[in-house]
Amino acid sequence: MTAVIADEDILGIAGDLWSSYLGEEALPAMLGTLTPEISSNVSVFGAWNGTVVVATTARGARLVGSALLEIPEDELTKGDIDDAVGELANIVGGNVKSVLPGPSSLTLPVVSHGTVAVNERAAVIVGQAALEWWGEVFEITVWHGPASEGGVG
Amino acid sequence: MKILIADDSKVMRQIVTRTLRQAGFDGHDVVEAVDGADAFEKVKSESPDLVLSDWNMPNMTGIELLAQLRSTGSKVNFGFVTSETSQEMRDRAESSGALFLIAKPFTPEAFREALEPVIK
Repeated sequence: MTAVIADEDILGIAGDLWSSYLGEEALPAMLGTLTPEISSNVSVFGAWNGTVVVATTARGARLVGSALLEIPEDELTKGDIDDAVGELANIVGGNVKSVLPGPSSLTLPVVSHGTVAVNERAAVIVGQAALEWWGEVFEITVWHGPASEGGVG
Repeated sequence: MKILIADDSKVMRQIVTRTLRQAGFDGHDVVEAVDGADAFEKVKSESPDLVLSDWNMPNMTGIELLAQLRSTGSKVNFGFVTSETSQEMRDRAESSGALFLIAKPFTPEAFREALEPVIK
């Protein structure tokens, strides 16, 4: 079953996330302007199969880590940054999953440096949104495809 | 009171701790667990009054943790703090004996509403 998630729903989920945890609201931005330097993804599998990817720049990831942990950027470890970006995907993915057909399960987040390749035959984008925060762009992409528990391959 | 926060994300454990403080629940002892198995051991060794647990964690999920606690006789107060926000997950949490499910992203108000009946 192909379910499409409205871009406004993705923006709403991300807006709640930013206003709850990141202090400054994120504003909608143009899609396609980001060259991803770090990406995190979670997969949904069950009644609906697909992958939710959150991508940003290295600076965007550092800013998120600094804001979530309330420590200066120069004190962040790589693990802190990966954890912070992974948690963005976990929260967006869990909320996206809740508006899609169920029952299904959510995988733990996987963080990649560079662009995530969603190597799934016939995977298609069913929802996408971009936000700008502190001058950095964050892109959220919802892929629908014949995922397995392994998710992104 | 002693509160055990179980989440595989250090970032999220910190946000939960901060939100407890913002919701007015400061002055309590906070213990952290990095996954479900760690939380199960710490319920035994630390005897917390309340467990705030993520759902999706490695080495035993939150729902498996709750089932294992109940099957071994633990009646510890237990609530979920999770990005799993669907009605199906809420129903599963409730039928397994969880007192509440706080959805991520959460606010201090959500913490107050869920925790006031539990935290003295």
